[in-house]
Amino acid sequence: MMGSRGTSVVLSRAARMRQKLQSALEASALDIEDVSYQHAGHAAVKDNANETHFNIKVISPKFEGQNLVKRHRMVYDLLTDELNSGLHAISIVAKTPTESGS
Amino acid sequence: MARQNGSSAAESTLKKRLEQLVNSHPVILFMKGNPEEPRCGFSRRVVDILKQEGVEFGSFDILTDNEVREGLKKFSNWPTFPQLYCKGELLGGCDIVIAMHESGELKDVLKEHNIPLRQQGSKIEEPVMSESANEQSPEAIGLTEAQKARLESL
Repeated sequence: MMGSRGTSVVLSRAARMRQKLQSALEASALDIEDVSYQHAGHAAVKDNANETHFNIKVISPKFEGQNLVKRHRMVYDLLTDELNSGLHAISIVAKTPTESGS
Repeated sequence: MARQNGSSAAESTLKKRLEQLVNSHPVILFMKGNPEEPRCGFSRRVVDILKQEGVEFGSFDILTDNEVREGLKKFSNWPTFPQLYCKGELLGGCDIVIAMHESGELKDVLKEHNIPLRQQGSKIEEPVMSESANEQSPEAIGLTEAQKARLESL
């Protein structure tokens, strides 16, 4: 399930995020895509910073009965350490197994 | 102790200010830059959607005020910007606004909160006028041919 591309440096934050989200949310599907390259030169991205922007798609039974704001907060809460250490923005798609039709 | 009291007093002042800010407009967007010149792609997308929905909104440029920027993250328990509020309540960030816009839910929420929406390409007075004339047939209120044609084309 680990990403197969990129160097170990590029993988590190993504790998930590995967671990945290997977275990806490019991995700049945979890896609983490590093899109930091799209934001290179962004005012908030310091020189040489990488792993700043990610797209996350997660399917979890724990989202059942939660509105979108609550679901996104659950994801953000799990990634607090990352957000405090250079993770700048994540785009989140958070669905339940029922909603994803799986 | 004195230091703690001092910082909690400052915190409650900030909290009051943030409460006032999120309630300063029925719909308000905390963003990077301003609606005319967004300084971030995510902020820009939300501005575009609000314009498409025809909703009037206030905005606050968090890049100009670090106290608000950091304070609002804690206040709303939401770590990123943009943040869209309706009647003082967080609707969401960019992803949620996009999803709600695409599903039509955003329009519903705005209507539920009695936020007036402009019709695309028409002035707000027109639908109001035709609504008040609903009970009468066009003939009964003596429309000219030109007005009838215009009504039909609407």
